[in-house]
This record gives sequence, structure tokens and C-alpha cells, in this order.
Amino acid sequence: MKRWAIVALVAAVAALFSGCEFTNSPLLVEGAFVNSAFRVDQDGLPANTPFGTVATVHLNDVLQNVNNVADSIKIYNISVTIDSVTGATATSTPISGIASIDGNPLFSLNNVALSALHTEHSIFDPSIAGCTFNAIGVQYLVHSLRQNPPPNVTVAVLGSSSASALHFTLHVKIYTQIYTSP
Amino acid sequence: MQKHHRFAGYALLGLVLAFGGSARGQNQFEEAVKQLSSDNVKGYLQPFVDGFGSNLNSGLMRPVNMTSLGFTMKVEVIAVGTLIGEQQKNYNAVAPYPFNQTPVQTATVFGGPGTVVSGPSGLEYQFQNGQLKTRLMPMAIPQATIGTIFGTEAVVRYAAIPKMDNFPHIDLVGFGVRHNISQYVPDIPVDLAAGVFYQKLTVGDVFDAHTMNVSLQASTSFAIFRIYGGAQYETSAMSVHYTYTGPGATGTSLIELDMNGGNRVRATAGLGLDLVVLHLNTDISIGKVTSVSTGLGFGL
Repeated sequence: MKRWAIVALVAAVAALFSGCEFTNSPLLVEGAFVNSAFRVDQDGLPANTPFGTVATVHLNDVLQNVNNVADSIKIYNISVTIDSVTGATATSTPISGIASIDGNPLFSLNNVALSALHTEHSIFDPSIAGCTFNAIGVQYLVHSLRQNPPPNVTVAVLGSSSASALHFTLHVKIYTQIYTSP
Repeated sequence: MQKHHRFAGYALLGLVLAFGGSARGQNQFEEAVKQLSSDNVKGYLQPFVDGFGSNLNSGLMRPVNMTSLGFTMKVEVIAVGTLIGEQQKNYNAVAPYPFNQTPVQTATVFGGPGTVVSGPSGLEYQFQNGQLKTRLMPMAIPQATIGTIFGTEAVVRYAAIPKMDNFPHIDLVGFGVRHNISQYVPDIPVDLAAGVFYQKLTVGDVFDAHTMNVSLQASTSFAIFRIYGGAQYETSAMSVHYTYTGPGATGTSLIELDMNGGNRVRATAGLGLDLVVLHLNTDISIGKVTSVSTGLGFGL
């Protein structure tokens, strides 16, 4: 939002609230989304050939849109999406695997069809059969975001499928709230 | 006329500059609103919109003293305020998924800490904290009255503050009339008038509001004292445009928030003091919200 537009709205509030007092409650700001994309491209391999990919996630990126001083960061959702299914890969292709953060299991997929996650789903959503979160990885992520500044972490995706051709992208997104100083 | 323009502008400018909060504090409110999706922000802001609309619709009832034909000219500064009670401090909101989608009660912009809801694996989500601590939402408005022709006087509100440094331009324009009904029924014990008024307030390109009201007013006098009151039907609407940066936002997530004030009908009772060219009025209005106004005017 343009700076002058922000001030415009603030000035309107200022004009109306002469003599009012701001509270000392922290301002809650949504952290910037931290997205990780994992591309899998396999062709002509035997069924159940494992695939794997890793990415470094900069947790400090959640603060990039925050103007105030951040007191703490709390995570409130982690989502997974599978898209960009290409080539000979059928959207009904089931995959099984695990996503981990610095070696700590975050969530697992057990025979989940690619199409089941074509729209964004929370890993905490019990309606997706075979998609299960792991409290160990969740708590590791919660603890990481308490550090100042938040560290870089390695997210790894390992899995397999009965299909011999696999072409898809798996996205993991982290949602956070930032508590800022009043 | 130019003097009245300046006076009106200074009155509104003085109110803008009278705000004592720090720059960081001023950004806090805007940031708090910016983070809310359209569904939750309406609940969070509704008390503000109600109070704002009620304020703009206040201060228009006055003792009925319009003659069939005469000269009346008066300039006033009216201080209005809407009381913020407990019912303005809470609203029902729904947490984002994967949290329970049952509405929970949490703080509005005038409330206390936002409610914390628990989710899976020990996760928590907290609704936005209230940002303003006040029992009264005040506003000052410049107003002029001129008449009368056929028992009718015109009421005007006007202020124009050009853009200055970090402050955007602010424009307030309002126009209405009050018509003396008693001239048609001279035997009634009180003076009656009907009024209609429309006004619009614009702040930069981000915020604008407009109000409309029609009223039936009555008054009687005892020496220099005037007792007045009436009933008023009113509407108010506010439009805010901002870039949404909360969950699901993209680089160009524009939110256009249109909200209506909840006050529709009010009953007003007031007391006036006429000292030839000095006029003092104070009244209280009760509707969905309770508003008070005090006006100091100069003129005939």
C-alpha cells in the first residue's frame, strides 16, 4: 500500500479520535507467507522408485512485510498443495511419502491421490484420508520461529509411487502471526 | 465568505492536529485494519462506523426560530461524540482454517485483547487486539446557517484542507434545509420544523463517507433558554480502500470495504441558550448508539 495512502487512512482516524488513547495491546500482523516448492520429474523408472528433493527455507522471511518491531512469531497453519501435474502422470496417481524439517517429520502422505491436494489443504485437515501431520515436526517449527532471528531450515520431501512417470510440484506453505510492540 | 472558509478549514485542521498519538501509534490502527479479511474487518470496525456516522448526523437539531421572511446568519463549531459502551467492544468472528469455524466473541477496535483459540497440535490463533481505549468517540464540525425565506433556512457544513506534507486532502461538504411547519398551524403550543441534510467527507483517495437524514424538530422557549428535541431518520455509509496483506493475499489484493452505519432512528433532546449573537446548544441523541453534541455559534 502506498505510504501516502496509509497516512491518508491514519489521518482520517486521527481526525476522528482527538483525545483518544491507543491501547498497549500488541498489534497482530500476518507474517509473509513462506512457500516452498518441490518439483518431482521422473520418467521410465520402475514402479515405487523413491523420489526426493530438498529446499532451504528462510523462516526470517515471515518478517519481510512487518514495519514494527516483532516481539514473537506464532505459527497457526501449514498447508500442502500439489499442482503442475504434467506429462504422462495421471492426477489419480497415488503417492506416499514424508515431509520433514531438519530431519523432524512434519507430515506424511499414505496413498494420497495427486488430485486430492490440487487445492490448498491444511496438513491438519482430517478430511484428506492418508494425510497426517506429525507433532514432532510441528513443534520443531514452532520452536524455530521463537528464535531471534528465525533460522534457515531444510525441508525435505521423500516419497514413492506405483506409477513409473511422475511429474508434479508439491508446495508447502507456512502461516504465521507476528506480535509487534505497541 | 473567505474568512468562513478559513475558519471552517482551521476547525477541522485543528482537530486533525490535536490528535496526540505518536506516528507509530497512528500506523497501528491502520495496520490492524489492513490485516483483516473483509468478513472479520466489518465486525471489527462496525462500532467505529456506527459512531462515525452518528457523529456526522448529530448537531443538526436546533430550536425552531425561523420566521417567514427575515435575515439569519450564524456560524457554529459543533463538538459531537458517540459513547462507546460494552456492546461496542465485542463482536463475533470466525478463525481461519484449520481452527474451529464456530464464531467466537472477540474484541472490536474499541475492545481489549483479541480472543485466543486453540487448534491442532497445540497451535493457537489470536484475533486482532483492540487498538483504541476510549469512552467517547469525538469529532468537531464547522457549520453555518443562513435564512430565512418562506420559513426556510439553509444549513451548510464545509471544510477543505489541502494536502500538506504527509496529510492527504480532507473535504467535508454538507447541505440541508430546515422548514418551519408551525407557520401552517399557529395554534400548537410548540414550534415545529422539518429538516433534511446530506453531507460527504473525503480523505485522500482511501476513505469517503456520506450521510443523509430527515428530521422532525420541536422547540419552546423560556426567556433566553430554549428547549428542543425531535426524531430523526438517518443513514450513513463509509467506504475504505486498502491492500489486503493477510492470509490468501496476492500482490494486488485490493479490498474495497463498504460499510453502513447501524444508527437509523434517533430521539434527541436538548437545551439552548440564546444571548443575542452568542448561541450555545447541547443535546443528547439516543438510537442504536448514544451521541452528544455541543455547539457554540455566533450570529443572528
